[in-house]
Parts: sequence; structure tokens; C-alpha cells
Amino acid sequence: MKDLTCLFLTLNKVPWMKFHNEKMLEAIGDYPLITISRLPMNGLPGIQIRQGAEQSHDKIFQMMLVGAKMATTDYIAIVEDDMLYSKDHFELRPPLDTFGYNWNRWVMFTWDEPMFSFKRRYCNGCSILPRLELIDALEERYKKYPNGIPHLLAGEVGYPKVEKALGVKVRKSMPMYSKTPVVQVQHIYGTPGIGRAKPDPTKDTMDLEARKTRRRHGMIRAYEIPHWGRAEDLIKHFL
Amino acid sequence: MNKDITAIFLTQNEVPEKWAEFHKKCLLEALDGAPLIIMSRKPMDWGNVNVLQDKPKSLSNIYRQLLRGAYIAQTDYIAVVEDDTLYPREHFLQLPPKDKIGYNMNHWSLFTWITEHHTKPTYSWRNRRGNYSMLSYRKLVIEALEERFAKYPDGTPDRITGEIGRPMVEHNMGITVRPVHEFETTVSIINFNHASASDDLQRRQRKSLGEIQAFDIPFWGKASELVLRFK
Repeated sequence: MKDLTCLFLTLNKVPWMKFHNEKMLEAIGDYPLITISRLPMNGLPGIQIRQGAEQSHDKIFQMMLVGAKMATTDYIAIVEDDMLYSKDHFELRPPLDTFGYNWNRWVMFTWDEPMFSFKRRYCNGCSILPRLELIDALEERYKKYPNGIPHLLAGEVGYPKVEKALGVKVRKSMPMYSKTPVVQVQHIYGTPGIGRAKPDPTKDTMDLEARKTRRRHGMIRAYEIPHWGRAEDLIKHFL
Repeated sequence: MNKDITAIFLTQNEVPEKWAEFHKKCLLEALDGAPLIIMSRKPMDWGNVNVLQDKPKSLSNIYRQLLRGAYIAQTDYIAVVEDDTLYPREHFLQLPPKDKIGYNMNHWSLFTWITEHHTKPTYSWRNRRGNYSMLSYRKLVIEALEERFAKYPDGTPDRITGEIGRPMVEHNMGITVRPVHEFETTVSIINFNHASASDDLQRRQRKSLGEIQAFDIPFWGKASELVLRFK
């Protein structure tokens, strides 16, 4: 019996859904799949749950809690609709008391020069999470914030900065590396952030449209990477 | 040009001749006139100062020569330059805090050999600080290395020798663990791994690639083409 469930979260806004889902199914293989989507997802195996159109960081964690409670495996892998996964990503396992994040993650932007970039940072879509620890962590958050996690405080479980700011228990976490990288696309369909708690009007635009393309590449950059090929070719699937 | 930095170039003069020429050209472009001290095994007729290494080749000797170079330099900052590493100009423009050892973390390794597990020239990155990317306040480097050699006057044992500011290294040596400032330039440093390196894993070609890998990167281009320079 498999010990990991893939939890696929989507608002069905991204333009590459067909390509994404093909790649996703190749990567997840026989692992059970729970899809939480806004629209019905024909052709996907496993359990499907609907979510509304509302888009917020808080809602992502609410949906993760729903999915984690529905699953029965030891681990949950979060699958996002703007990320392409490799088979070996889903083979990663942190200890049962530790949230694991795959650091072998390249990011592409839909704007700017086609390029992959890398930052040493946790990303929700790269997480492999012990299910019971995840439930415990999210229930703790929602007990403290019954009306939802404030936008500026929402962030990955096991991320010390986030959990300290939330005033909840700082959980164990660790970076991991899959042999084959995962690729994430930064695009205009994501949940726009409002940035820092105290924005600097000379540097921080409050225009949500402008903020969608405001991210900066990581300094470690590449045009071609193993498995996925050239950024200029791969990004075409999203545009 | 950054007038406040001196490059300390450490070489055993064992790298291939054509590569050494290419490396020199790239280095002089990157330094853009900044002072250069060469600590070499054989006399070299370029750079501002050339000093011959006075101890046999070893890991400890790398740091011994770095200390000698740091004494000679007169700028506030020094940057290590290794003979198997290519640097971007931007690297030598960095000025990390004076109380921390600086490391540029935008560094790729490029292996000059191919194995059954590594069949294509590949840039690879590991979350590790390398001496080749160290750039720091000169007096802090002197302080750290003087402490090291005061405790080990005959040289530090190879099995525990390593970078300044790496906690495990300094912990094992029983010396002060120096705080570190990691920075990243937009253009990468490229560290070639080859059979004449000091690292035993490289000499035996048993080193494994870092986890983050790429075939083609900005500025330096394709790994398959750049690797051909090392000959």
C-alpha cells in the first residue's frame, strides 16, 4: 500500500491544464490522488472535491486541511497547477515529525527573458508533509485564527519565520533534493500578495496587477536543465 | 573597479597550459585593474606581486599561503582566486560586512570528467561554501588564520582542514567559529573539478554532482563548450 497521497489544488485558471495534468499523472504514477478544484476535472483518477472561486493564501491552507483529513496515508504531497513534477519528487520522505521541502526547484516567469532561476527557499508546492503533523499544525493555526489566517502571516508549515510570526509552534522542517528537478511557473493567475506589512510607497506598488509580475529571479540561473530542457521551449506550454 | 579589494591568486601551476592562459584572460577582465597577488609554485611574470609558495602542497598550505597573501595586501578586502575557477567582474565588487566572512553562493561546479552516472558535461550546485568564492575583510581573515596556525604551528591536519567560517571545520579544529555572510552575484562563479585538484575526491574522480544541475547558463554558456577550455 502506498504511503503518500498527492493533494492537487487548482482554481482551474492556468492555461496549461492539459499539459500539466499529463505530466502530473506520469509523475505521480500509482500514488492516490485527491483533487480539490473549482471545475470538474475529467480524466483524473481518485477523489475530487470542489472549491469556490475565492482566491487567498488562507484558503490554500484550508483546502490542505480538508485534503489531509480525507487522506489516510502517512504523507501528503502538495501538487500545484503551476508546477511540473518528476517521479522521484514523490519518492522523497522526511521523518514523520518533519515537514520536507524539495529544494530542487527551478522557477520560470511568464514575463521577462525565458530562463530558469533557483532560490534556496521552501515552497508549498514542493512539500512532502507527514499527514498527522500537518493536520496538527493547521488545526493549531485555525484554532488561533478561527476567521482565517491573516494574509501577511500565511505561509508554509515548518517555516520558522512564518510560524514565529503566527505565534504557533515552530515545527521541524528540512530541505530535500529530488534527483530530477521540479519546475514552477510564476504567472498572473496566482494569488496576488500585498507585500510587506509596512510597504514603502517609493518601492512597493499597491497595484495588484503590477504586483503579479513584480517577482525577481533567483541569482542562480539557467537556460537549459536536465529532464525539462530549455526554458524557452518549456514556457511555451504555459503561454 | 573596486579599489578596496586585492585578489589573492593561489596556484600550484599544475593546471593545463592553455587553460592557464584562458584563466588569466578571464581573471584580468574580471579584476578590471584591482590589485593581484599571485602565490604560485613557479615564478609568474604577471600580477602586481608574485610570491613563491614556501610549503609543500596540502590543504593546510592553501590557508597558509592565503595568510601570507593577506599580510602583503594593503586593501580592506581580499578575495581568493583559485586557478581552476572563473569569476565574473561583479564578484570583485562585493563588500560584505567587516565582521563576517563573505562567500559568494552563486557558484557552479563543472567536472572535467565523465562517468556512467554523469554522461554529459553539467553545471552543478551544492549548498556549500567554497574557499574559491571567499571574499572578506582582510583583517578578519588574518585573525581567523592566525588563530588556526597558532593552534597548529606545523599546519592543520588534512582531515579537518577546510574553509574559514564553516562551523564543522572550525568546531573540529577547536577554534572560533566565524560568522558568515552569504551573498550572490547575478553572474556565477565557475569552479572546475579536475584530476590535479587538492581534493582527493576530485583526484580520484569519485565526486558526485551537486543536486541542482544545468546544461546552459547565462554569461558562461553551455557546459559542453566551456569544459573544453580546461585543457
